[in-house]
Amino acid sequence: MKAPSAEDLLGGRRDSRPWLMRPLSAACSLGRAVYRGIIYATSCLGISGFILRRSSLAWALLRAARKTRLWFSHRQYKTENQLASARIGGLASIGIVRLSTGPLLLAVAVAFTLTLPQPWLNEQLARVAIHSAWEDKPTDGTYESALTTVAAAAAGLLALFFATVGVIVSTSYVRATTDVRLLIFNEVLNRRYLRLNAHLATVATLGLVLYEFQGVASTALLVYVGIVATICLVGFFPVGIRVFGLFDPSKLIREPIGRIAREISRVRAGHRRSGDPSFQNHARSTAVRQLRVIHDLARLALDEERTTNSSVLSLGGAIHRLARRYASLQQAIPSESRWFPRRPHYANWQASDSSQTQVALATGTMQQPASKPYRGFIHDDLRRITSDTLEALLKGGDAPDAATLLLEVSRTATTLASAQDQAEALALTQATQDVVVEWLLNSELTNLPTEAAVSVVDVQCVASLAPILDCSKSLCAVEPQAWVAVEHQLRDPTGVRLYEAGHPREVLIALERVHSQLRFDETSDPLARAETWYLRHVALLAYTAHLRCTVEGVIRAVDANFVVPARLLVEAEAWLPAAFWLLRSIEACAKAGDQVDKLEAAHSGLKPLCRFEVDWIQLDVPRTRLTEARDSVHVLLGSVVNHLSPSDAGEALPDITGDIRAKIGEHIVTSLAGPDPLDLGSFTKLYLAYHQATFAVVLKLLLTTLPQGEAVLATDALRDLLELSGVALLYSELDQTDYGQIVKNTWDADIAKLSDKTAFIKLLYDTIDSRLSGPIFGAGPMQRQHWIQLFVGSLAERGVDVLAYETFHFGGKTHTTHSSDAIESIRTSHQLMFTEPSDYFAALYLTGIEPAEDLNPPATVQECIDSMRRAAERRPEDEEATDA
Amino acid sequence: MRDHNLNWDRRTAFWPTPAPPGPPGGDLRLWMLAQDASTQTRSHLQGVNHGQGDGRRVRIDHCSEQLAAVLSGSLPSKGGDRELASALPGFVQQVVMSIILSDVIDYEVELGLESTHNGEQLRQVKLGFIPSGTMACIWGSAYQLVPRDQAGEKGPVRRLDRWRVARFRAPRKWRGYLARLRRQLLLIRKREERWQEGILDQKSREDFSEVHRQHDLAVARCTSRIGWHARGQLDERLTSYHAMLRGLRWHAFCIELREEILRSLGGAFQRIGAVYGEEPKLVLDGLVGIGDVREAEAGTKEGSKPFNDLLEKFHRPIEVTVA
Repeated sequence: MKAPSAEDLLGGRRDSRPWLMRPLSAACSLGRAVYRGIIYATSCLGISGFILRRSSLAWALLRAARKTRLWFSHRQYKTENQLASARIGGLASIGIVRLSTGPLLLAVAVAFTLTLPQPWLNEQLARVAIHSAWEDKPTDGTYESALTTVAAAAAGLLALFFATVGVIVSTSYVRATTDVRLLIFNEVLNRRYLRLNAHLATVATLGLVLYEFQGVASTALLVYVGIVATICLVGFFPVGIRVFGLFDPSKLIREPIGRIAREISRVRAGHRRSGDPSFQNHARSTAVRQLRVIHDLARLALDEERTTNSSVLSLGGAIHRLARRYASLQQAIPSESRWFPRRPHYANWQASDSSQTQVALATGTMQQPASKPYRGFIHDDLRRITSDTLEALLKGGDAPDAATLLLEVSRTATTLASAQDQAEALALTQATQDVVVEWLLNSELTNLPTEAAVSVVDVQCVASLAPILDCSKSLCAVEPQAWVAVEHQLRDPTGVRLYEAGHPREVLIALERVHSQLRFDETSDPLARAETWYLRHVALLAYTAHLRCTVEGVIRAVDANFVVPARLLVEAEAWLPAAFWLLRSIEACAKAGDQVDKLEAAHSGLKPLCRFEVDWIQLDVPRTRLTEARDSVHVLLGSVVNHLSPSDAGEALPDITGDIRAKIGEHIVTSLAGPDPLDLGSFTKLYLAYHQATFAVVLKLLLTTLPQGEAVLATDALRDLLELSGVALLYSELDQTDYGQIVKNTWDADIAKLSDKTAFIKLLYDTIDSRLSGPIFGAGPMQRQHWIQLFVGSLAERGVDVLAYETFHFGGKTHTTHSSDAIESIRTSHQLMFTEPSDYFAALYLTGIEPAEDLNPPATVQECIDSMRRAAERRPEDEEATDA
Repeated sequence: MRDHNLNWDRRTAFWPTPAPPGPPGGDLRLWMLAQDASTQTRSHLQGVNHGQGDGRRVRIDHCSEQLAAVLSGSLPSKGGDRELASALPGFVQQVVMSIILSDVIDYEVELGLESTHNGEQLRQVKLGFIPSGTMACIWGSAYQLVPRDQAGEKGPVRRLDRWRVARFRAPRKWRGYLARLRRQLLLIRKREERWQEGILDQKSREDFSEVHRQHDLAVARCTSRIGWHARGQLDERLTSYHAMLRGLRWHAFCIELREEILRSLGGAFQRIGAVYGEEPKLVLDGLVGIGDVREAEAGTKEGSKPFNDLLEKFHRPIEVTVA
């Protein structure tokens, strides 16, 4: 969006104009005043366009004008038809003459201009007695033979070049449509070279003819012909090489893309003829024709068997450059422009216009449907071409090339989202996503290179983030106060400034409507002038609606682009792609949450500008949907993690299992600490997934002798599991929930499977005891610290006095006791516990099971046990103190 | 209800005339405008429950109870209401409609006389309708021109008592405008017919929506001074801000019409009261006035309240009580 300047906001634009502009401004004001005066006068006299145009005189004038226009149109059509018939080999010989009229006139003009003044020039030079090269006439034989040679050579080059082009057309493009073949002849440089040769041959021939008739040998003509002939001869080789490049269809795409880009520029508001509906229609039909050509070219490139896909990728790149250009310019096209094709829209009979009803009743016909502009037609075609291209690349096994194409898709989606066209960005990413998911589901993953599949999935996920991230990012880049400063734009009679501001389409439609209404107000009542507050209020309402749509779009994008495809992949047991998709889904959920927060802040910025109370966004529902999406992603991730084999995490890929474990653990603790904890089913699934994924590592540690580095990592993973189990047990104690029982049951089941249970318990004790042996600032310890901080924060939030230890000694202050001894025994300082949750896990669970009976627990665990015992002993005194 | 035992003194003739084809006034849109104005004006005065404390009252001051009863029963009404509060809204509605459609409406004060031993005494008064376009005032005298086949014994030209003629017209500032408005709406209708004929004959190649806009613009321009909303025809074309200001203009127009009619009626009452030797005065309190319109206009320009809140005063039901 273009940010209005401070002058715009303060309404000081008029005063800040340079002094040179002031007379112009005054003249404009005078013109506007005269215009309003005329309107006022005609209004007083009761004259209006509607009445005048239906008078007899106006009717007659209109008929005459129509007939004149029809006559000219008919003449033009006839001429074009004749030219077309000559072009495709019609029988009208005169058509050939007509086709060559322009170049022939040019050649005649050049030949006569350079030949006829020669005697006069010689005479003048002789009079002033200046001897020059112009007087040294070439000898007759030389002149004649030179021109003959040049004419013959030019004709030869013409034939040779035409034959070369013909060979290309008849071999490489034999199955292409006529429009595609015409592109080769219409290619700019080819066309110019052929014309230059034809011109050279014609001029040389005319020179010969003039020489035969008048006997004048022109030095100037000879020089001109010599220069042009040299250019043609020298240029033949590079142009010829270039022509052979046209075997590649991607070289031809410049012409159709350039024409579409030109038409887009012409239909933008402010262009000379952009307001003419027939011109808009013509521009659209041209663009549609060129889109068909692009589609044909793409199919041609895909059908060809080549060793590389550079041609296809080049085509894809060009198409997406066009899409990006259109995305950045489309906000400057009026919403009701005929550039957008129309689709019928049937209104309810009762709700329709009375004039239409009368016509329908009088003629006994149905009501004419209203036509609604369809604004996605360019993007639709480009999307279809992209999908076809991507599908062909993936089916051909060219996953890296597909990833390259997806990068282009990602850039286009980002541009679309930044231009506030969230729906189109979503549609584009969904189209490619459907292709990618179908490829993953139908491919036998055993034969699929893992890196290739992962790179395709990863790039697709990056593209899918665009509708979530970039729409709100570009929207919030401008202050909300600047969004609604639209009074200058709306008061501009031409409306061009409205399109330069880059409003989102929904807002633009609302503002265009107000702009049209303002023009109607001013024309119907010259004294009418809407106040600034009203214009800003209208913009504010439109932007509020747009913000609502954007929030809705963000949530929809998370669901459609991440949750749904990931679930499909999980159901199809494509574990590795599903895992990558789910990890990106977590990122998408986090980014969506951030963007919703940003939009909410922007929304809050709009509220003070509102005059009256309006319907504001209710963000509770979107946030709930986002939380549900996040929960389901983690549950899916939990079901994936145990199906990933250790070989999946190789050198070429990231440590996906560790990443998943970290994310699940974080989600469990964050949910337990939050106001809406996980339901029991989701907790069971997530904890079980985390437990099993970590337990597999622990078993490996028990059964094999690992190298030192891997042993440290495995011990760290086991410490994570113990810590998470401890946190879950403590939250269960704190909130009096059943999470602790689930944790205990899971451990019971796994320990029961082991043959040497005592050794395993000893291993666990050793792990707890050696907490300082690993890297203290590693990923695992830092995450565990974070969990402890969250738990201590939860204690304070839920009314447990975390400073009780200090106050007990210093103030004797009474506090409310918790029913759990474990919670009562926890001593904290500066958001950290003196003993860790893993110690409490051992104290609450491990020391109580049978295999641990003969083992001495570590000192920290024993301290927890003693602390809980003291808390239990202290309890009656505390209760008495509370009663007192 | 007219008492048929009395001797009714009526100078003017009344005869049934067939209604001309088409809508009253010759144009459907003009007729709708007249209906809207009359309904709006009636709503100012209409009330079914009396005395609910909103301060809206109509009364006749400075007159005896006998004269007040005579004046209250003088207004023509379908149900034969003898209460001023019941008869007044219908009467004003009829007058407003006639003013907009045909500029003027005249009534003759008919005198219901009872013969007693002291001579004839005035017992009842009725406002009798004079067919439109038949009355002429020359040098302070009023005459009615009756068609020859309806003239009877009294002849085609009947001289009337000037004081007994009650003439109701629009305020002076609106008279010329309303005449122009009638002509313009008629012209628009004729052009509209030609446009629709063109569509039916498939002759019109113009863009329908553009012609439609021009058509609406013509209606909006000719009704802009009174602010008529053309029954929602212009809703989509105008900004809600301008539509609000037009709506307030419409209310101001209806209020001015109402005030002018009540002023004329008050004059007629005073002339009747002079027969009794009294000077009655028709007084209406608490009705929406021009001041309310100006206040709402200022509120609109400031944007201090939602438009619906500003219009609330003009839309609430009105109760009329008799003092």
